[in-house]
Amino acid sequence: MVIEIAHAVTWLAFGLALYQAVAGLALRGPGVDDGREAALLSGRAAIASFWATGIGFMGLVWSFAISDFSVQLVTLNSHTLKPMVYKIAGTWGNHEGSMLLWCWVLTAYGAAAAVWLKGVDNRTKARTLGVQGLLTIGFFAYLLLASSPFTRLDPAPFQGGDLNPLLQDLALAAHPPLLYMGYVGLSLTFSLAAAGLIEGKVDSTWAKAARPWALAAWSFLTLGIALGSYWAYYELGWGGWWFWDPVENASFIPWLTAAALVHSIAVTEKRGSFIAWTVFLAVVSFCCALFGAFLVRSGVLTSVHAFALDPERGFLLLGGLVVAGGAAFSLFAFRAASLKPGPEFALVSREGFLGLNNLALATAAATVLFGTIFPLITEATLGRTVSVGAPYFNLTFAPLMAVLVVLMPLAPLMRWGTDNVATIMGRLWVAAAAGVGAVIGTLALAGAPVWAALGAGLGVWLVAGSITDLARRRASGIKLLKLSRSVWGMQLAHIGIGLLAIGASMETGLRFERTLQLAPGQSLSAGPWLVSLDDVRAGEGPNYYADRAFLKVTGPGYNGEMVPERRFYPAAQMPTSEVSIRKLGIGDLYVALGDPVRQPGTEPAWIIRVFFKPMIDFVYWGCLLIALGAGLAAFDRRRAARRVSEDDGGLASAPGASSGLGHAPPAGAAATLEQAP
Amino acid sequence: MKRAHSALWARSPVRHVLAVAVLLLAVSGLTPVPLAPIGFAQTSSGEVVQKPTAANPAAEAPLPDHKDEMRAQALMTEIRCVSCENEPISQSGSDIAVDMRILVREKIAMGLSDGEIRSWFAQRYGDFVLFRPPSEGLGMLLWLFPLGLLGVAVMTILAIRRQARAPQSVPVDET
Repeated sequence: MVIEIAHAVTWLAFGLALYQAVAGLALRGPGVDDGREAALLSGRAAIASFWATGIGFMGLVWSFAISDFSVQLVTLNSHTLKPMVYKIAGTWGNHEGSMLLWCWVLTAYGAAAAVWLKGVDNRTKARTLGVQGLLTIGFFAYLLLASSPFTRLDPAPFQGGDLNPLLQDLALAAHPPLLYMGYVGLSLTFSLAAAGLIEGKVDSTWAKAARPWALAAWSFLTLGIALGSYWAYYELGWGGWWFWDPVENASFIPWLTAAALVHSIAVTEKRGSFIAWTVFLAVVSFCCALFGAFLVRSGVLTSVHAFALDPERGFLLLGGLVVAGGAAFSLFAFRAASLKPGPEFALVSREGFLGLNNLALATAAATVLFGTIFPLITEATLGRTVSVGAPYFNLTFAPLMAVLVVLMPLAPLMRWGTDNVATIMGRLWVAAAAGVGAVIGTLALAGAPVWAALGAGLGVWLVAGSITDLARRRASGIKLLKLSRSVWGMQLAHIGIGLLAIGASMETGLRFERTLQLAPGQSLSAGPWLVSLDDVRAGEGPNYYADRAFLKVTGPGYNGEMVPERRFYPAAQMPTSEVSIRKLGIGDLYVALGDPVRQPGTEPAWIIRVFFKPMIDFVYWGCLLIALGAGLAAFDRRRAARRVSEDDGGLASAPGASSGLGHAPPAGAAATLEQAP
Repeated sequence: MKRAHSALWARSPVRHVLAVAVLLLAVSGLTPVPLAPIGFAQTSSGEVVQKPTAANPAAEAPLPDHKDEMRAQALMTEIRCVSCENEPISQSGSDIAVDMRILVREKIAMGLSDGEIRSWFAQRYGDFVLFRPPSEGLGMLLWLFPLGLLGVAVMTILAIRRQARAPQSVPVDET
């Protein structure tokens, strides 16, 4: 009964989305209709649709929680012996359930926009909700007609097929919801862009309203990707945290375009420049998110992380992408000429440098996209299968990011309009010295490869540069806690990128790995550590059997036991590896248990892989800071127009006057006044 | 402005930035214990405490020369395991990956160059096994893509800027 109710309310939510779209989009002419009623009605429908989908989703969660095997999806993906948390997480560990979650998040953003979207006029708000409704309709149609999670099974079996054991993990239980909050969050910036184009009102007021949504989506996307990467690190048992796998790239491409978007939209808000580019990025980012969903679910590319594969339904997603993207780009092409260029600026200015940032990020996104689909291109044109992997992405992506990081500390110190690199560098010499020091230090003392030392140096330069900027603002008389959240957010995120650069360079350049083969009672050394295998004992978990290796590890930083294990999940007939990790402060000591090697007449020996992962935590703390910074900036109190904001540079008072370019009022200021009631 | 500028370097920022720089330096390089021997100075000399015997061969023993072993490990990250889902042989636990790793070490011990080893694998298993795509034919397009795109983007931006600026520079007729 529960699942039928869930099914029915999900159809209801679909109907409400239809209403939301019609109410939001069917507006009379601009003079006649102020859109207030449309925004209200469409918003109410969006909120109702959110609650209805929520009930539907909870119904499915309930069926998983009580292991109701008369529901086909539960039978295929659950098992009575599974711990409760993974029964619940199993709801979104498969194609149909995850699409329902996707739809719920989509309606959640619609409802959130109905309640919290402020700062745009009612007509634009109505159109935004309407376009969001259209997207919701598309996904609901896909869910209910092609991927229904509510199918019954009769007769019901007594036991289910179990969730892929690799997915039975806390980080991975939280990974899809966060990732979808990011992916799907980009739907709202897409809707805002489409609405702005329809109404012909994309200006700094629009950017001010849209910016928090872009930041929030980007923040969630960062968290989702980082969690997925962390999971790969400790669950796959090979110590890697980024493989340039198609599925990872699928989430990384929209992350890059959204990163470009949050910078471009700031320029549009503050200066009224980059309008067309911002709108373009908003559209492209959601299209990339859709394309990612298509790549992940269609199985056109093989991947270590592939799950929920279904080619036919995957291609339906591609169809949806073509329709949504095609419509938005047509609208864009139709309106692009009417989008005003902002005030002029010199290349050396904050706009100019944010433009360079966007150039690097957009090129990087396009490169990752091209590399990811390149095997498909060669297969279609030449019939040859090739692989594009880490060597390509590292060689092309890293230099682009290096350029980006070199410029990153400069932009926040610059004035809008025009500035001078020499002055800025005069303020950043300490940061530059710290960076050079780090390069020399890592080269001389840790024996790092040159590229890794350069990467770490860039990271230190960025962290020190960001702190310099905060200190500069403090020195100009503003208490640190009084700085706006967007300034704090920006600098925290920049520091996060710096830490990420340091961690990634050090881990990649200095990691260390040994494969040992040990029988119980034997010891071998792995670098500076001596590893002895005491015993391998069999154990049992709620839904798996395990072999646990009891190891004694002695060496710098650690003397004690480590217990990696291998599990076997009989329901899914799959082995997994549970690594043992010790934090040594400077890095992770990481031990994984491999296969037993049986030779006749002797006790079995075991393959044991020992890794040392220097500064790996910097990667994850860095990601966390990026997400935190973006989140903080998203919740920036929208400043009153009259107050001089400190990030227009409390220091930006004087010299620009001579250039005559830099200090025109933001183009949106006039529009803001016009719209005031 | 001037005052703020000089005060800036006299007071907090220098202290803060230096403190952080020192901290980061300490973390990234100066801390002596575990970082120094991360397999770079030590591996080729006497690190094995209990020598491997016939009953206990080190699984997939590393090559005796440290430089060779580093080359082998780098190559292993670039060669795709033929029986797995998109994993390099350095990461795969499957039997064929073990065999392929042994092959890489063999070829290096035979004195083959990285390029020769790559093409040996490509010949035996197809281009598919190389994660580093070939740089001829369509592969050339792939490798030149980022630079080409950057070039096109820069030229487009310059053209737009020139166009935007053009109407403002109206020639003034002095009569």
